[in-house]
Amino acid sequence: MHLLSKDLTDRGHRPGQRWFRLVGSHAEEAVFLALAGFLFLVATNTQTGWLYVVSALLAGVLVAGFLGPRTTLRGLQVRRRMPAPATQGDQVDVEMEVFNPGSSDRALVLVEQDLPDTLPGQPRTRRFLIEHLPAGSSVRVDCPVPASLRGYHRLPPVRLKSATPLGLFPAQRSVPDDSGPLVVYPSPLSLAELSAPSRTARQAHQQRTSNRVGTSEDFLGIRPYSAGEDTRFIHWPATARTGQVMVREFRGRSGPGMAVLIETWAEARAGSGADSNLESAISAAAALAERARRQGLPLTQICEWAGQVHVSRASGEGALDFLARVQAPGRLSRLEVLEAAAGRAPADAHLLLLLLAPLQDLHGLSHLLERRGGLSVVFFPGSGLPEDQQDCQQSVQVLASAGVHSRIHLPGMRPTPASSGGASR
Amino acid sequence: MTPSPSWHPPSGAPPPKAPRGCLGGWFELLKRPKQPEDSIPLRVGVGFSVGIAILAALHQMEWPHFGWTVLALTLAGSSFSWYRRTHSNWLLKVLLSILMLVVLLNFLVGLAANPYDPRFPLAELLLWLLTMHSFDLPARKDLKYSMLVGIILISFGAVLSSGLGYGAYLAAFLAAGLVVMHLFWRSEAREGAQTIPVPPEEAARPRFATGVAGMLTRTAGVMLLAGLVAFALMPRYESLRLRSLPVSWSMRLTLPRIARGEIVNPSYPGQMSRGLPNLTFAPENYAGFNPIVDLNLRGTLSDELIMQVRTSRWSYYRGLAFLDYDGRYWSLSKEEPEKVTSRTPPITLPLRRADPRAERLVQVFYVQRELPNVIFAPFQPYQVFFPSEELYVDQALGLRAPFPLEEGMIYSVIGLTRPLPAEELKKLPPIEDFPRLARSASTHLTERVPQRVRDLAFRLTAPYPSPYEKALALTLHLQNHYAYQSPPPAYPADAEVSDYFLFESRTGHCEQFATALVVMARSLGMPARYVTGYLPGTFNPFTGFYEVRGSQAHAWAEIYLPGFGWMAFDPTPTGNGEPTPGLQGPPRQRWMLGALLDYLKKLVPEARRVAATRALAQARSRWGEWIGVLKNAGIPTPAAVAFLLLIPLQIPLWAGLVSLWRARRSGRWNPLTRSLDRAARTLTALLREPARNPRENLQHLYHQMERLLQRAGWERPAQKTAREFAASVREQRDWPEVEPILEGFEKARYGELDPSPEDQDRVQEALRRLRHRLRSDASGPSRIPCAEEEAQPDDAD
Repeated sequence: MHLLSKDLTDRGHRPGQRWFRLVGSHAEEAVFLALAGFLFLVATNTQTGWLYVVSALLAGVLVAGFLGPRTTLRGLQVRRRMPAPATQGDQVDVEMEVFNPGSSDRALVLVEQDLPDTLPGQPRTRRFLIEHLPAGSSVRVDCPVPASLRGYHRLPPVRLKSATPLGLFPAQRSVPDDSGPLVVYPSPLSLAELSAPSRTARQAHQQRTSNRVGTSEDFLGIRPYSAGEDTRFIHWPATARTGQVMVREFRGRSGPGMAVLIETWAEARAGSGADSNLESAISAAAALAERARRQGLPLTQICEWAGQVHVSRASGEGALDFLARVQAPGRLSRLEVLEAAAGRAPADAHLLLLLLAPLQDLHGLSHLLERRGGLSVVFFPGSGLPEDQQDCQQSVQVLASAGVHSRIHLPGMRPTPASSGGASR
Repeated sequence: MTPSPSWHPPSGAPPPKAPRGCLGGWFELLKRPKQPEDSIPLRVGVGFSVGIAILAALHQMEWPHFGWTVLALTLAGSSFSWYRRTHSNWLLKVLLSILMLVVLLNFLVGLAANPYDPRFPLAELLLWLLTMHSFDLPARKDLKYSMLVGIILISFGAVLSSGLGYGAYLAAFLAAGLVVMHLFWRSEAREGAQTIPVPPEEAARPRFATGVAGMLTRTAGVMLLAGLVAFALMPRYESLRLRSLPVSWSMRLTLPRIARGEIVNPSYPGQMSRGLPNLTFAPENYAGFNPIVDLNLRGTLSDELIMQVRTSRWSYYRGLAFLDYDGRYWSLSKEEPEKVTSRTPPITLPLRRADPRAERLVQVFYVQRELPNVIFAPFQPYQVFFPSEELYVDQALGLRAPFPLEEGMIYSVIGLTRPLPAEELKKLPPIEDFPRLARSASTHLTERVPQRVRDLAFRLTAPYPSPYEKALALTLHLQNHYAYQSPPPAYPADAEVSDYFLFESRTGHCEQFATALVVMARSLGMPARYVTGYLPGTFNPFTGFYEVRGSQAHAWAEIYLPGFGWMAFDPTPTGNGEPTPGLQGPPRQRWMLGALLDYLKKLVPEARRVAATRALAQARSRWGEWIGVLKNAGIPTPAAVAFLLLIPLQIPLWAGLVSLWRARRSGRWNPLTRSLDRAARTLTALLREPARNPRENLQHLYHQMERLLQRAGWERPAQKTAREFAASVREQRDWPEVEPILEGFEKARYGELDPSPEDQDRVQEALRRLRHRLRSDASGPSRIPCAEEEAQPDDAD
């Protein structure tokens, strides 16, 4: 029926098409109008007063049918609450509360919530029918949304629809609200699949490059502030001098920590949706963040999107939140990103690069290779094609010859939900 | 609030797609089931509404035999389609298609039997279609089609109906229809959506006003209101453009014949003979429909409904025209009437002159009672759709049926009318140019008519050259100078009726008026004849019929205008003051509401209606005077009208708008309830005049004095006491009334004892005198009292 047909918001290609669609979606009302007109003509011809009455009453039905739905929807308020951040693959419930502040009861109000374009799922519109909404009371509607993709998803506004009481001239209204986005964290890869660079390799790097093993109060230098950091360590003179917020860097208590770069290079992305190599990389980063949280290791995450390099030192949920915010594709060139990563990562943290494409050559990356904390690389080739794997194998060999440990994560290893539970519900 | 259950996709598999292809595909189409409609209340509602429509139609068809079959089958069909709603029922559909052909054939047969009245066969077709369709109602769309046919059926019943009682069926169908529409919507809303159930505590507390029943009642109210507005704005075009001219064709076979076109009046059987009759008055049928009319017959006709007429414009219904007059009796022409035949309707009358400029006037007559064998028709009749194969037409174009008219007979007449504006009619040549007319039977005047009648006629018409104006002058004179009384006083048996009427009695009813007009016209040499028939009747806007009652039998005159033809004139005073030559009018009412009001006006007694009309005319003339005054001042009419209308309306209009705006700005507004509150408070304040105690009363009177003085120019400054103020007033004006009022005020305000009634009387009397004095003393104070303080005593003024 016309209520369930698609909206009239798209424009018709030809001028008449829009009117045609308008009439077509209001077929019932058109029939009433035509009938009223026809009966009026018959009444004029036969001079039967009762037919005039019937014709007038049909017109009256149209008027009453037009006013009713508008009255039904008038003043209704909808408050929408997003659930706590979910992990990819969960089914979350978006809570909506429909409140009737008026003095009359409302009946048969449809509440519709569209899934955002960024989230796949069927059906695209979830529909709920509130049969009776007494005056001054509210009804809670829980709309299940499949959180199948990580990210910040902006849900379209809730729609209220009604055609009470006669089913003619349905009225609809979008209820804007500021309930914020739905945050879906990536689901971490199971740790068995992803082996972080072994402790021995890291320690080897440390011993080679570091000679400043000390207490946690060791002062390492001043670097720019990045999101999620404690504001106690802001170095104000440096901030005043450079105009950018600078913080003092100390070595973390339990060790030098880890820095992870997630590459979002546009030309290296392959696959779509949850199966793309970028998503695999992000899932890997999520697993690493989880492990860092459990072991208490300080974690730095670096990623570039929208032409800007973002760095996060948050841990736990903040790290997952950072990963959720990653928006592919990146705009900067690969070299720029790698340089920025080298610059922004703490000097003696172990830098782990999650790359989406093989590294053809290593020139220009010398400061990466000579980091104090060490470097390792994981490749996420896009497809399972042998060519991609071969290129990645070559890169692994090249890196190995430079003394960098690397491995390839093959597609088809699907991320399984983290057994210890990711974000809290 | 209870937590809602988890969401699940809507139930019901989507209907499978129909495969493409030719015949096989079509067969698949027939077989596939549609999305079934499961709601029982909806089906019951639809069945109930359709049942009302069926009953309404059957009632108008007067309960034919197949009606009960139709009802029972519809009921059975609805249940059957409910049980079988999930099956494809293709065999049933094939069967129904065959049956539909059978029903169509039946309709065509019925139409052939009575080709001029397709209403009943059509109604039967609709009923059978509805019945058969009710067996195949799996989906909601089918139920909607069923309701559509129901609406058509009830509209059809409205066409067949002939009274106010049909409104009951309409109201019942409407109420049921609203409920059904709501159920349709309810069922549609549930589709594809998960239902959030009503919280149990709310479900247990039903409230009419805020629940569904209340909502539907309010919707019905809005619908009625909007419908009333639509009805009021509907124009009423008085024209039958598409011609369906019903005739009760089957009646022609059953009625006994009257030979040779004689007139037989069932209320006067056997009383007519070739000689002079001795009639006793019968109230059921007008004595004017007889071969001989006795003008001295007195009595009151009954008010029974004689016939109902559907016509494209109002007109008098012409029955018989009489030519021979002998002073007391009118008789029909002695010549044999001409017989006109036709095997199938219509019977076309031979007209001596077919006027190409004539307009058609269509009338359909529904006979309600036994009537004489006169075919009432507009003048001039051209084609008659009558249930017989022959008719008799006499020399004066009176139509006679071969049998008396029976109850339930329907016939139609198409007449030709050529309305000419008065200017054209005045240019017609005078009667003297046509000497042959003086010898015709319709100009012959009996010698019994005395000279003074002829002199009167001559004197009245002398100033006018043209026959139209002469006829009009005679008509006007009769209308304005003679009184109508029904039944009229008895005339002496040997008196000549027109003479006695014009000079002795001066009162009569339509017969005497018409006779006088015919006699006077004939005396001037104008051919004239005496016509009997019926008045147009009362238009009933509900049914669209003009209802003609027995008491509306009437007599008038027809006068021949050479160069034009016969024209009817009605000299009987009607209260309008204006004659209507031709006795056929243009459409009277433009709007349906106007027609309705006209009909309702008839319910108001005559005297009150006349008084109201007069008052309205006075108000209208007064209004016109005011407009004229303003127009003389140079203000054009629309501005003057606006000025006059809006001046008194401005104040409440602006006050209302300002208060609304303020209320809206303050954020909380519910103007209706607040204004009702305020109105209630004002009303209670007005009604409940609080009894003031004596102290308050005296103070109140003192304040009234202050107000009077203020209006006269003395304002009491705030720092002055009452006594000081009174002193300053008394310096200016030595008014003795001020002192007692002041004393009364002080006693009321500061005194220990309550003021006595005598005090109050005294103060009131003083106040009254003060008011009177102030009115006559127009001059104010010579100096402003406030400035008195600032003015230096030794300043020169």
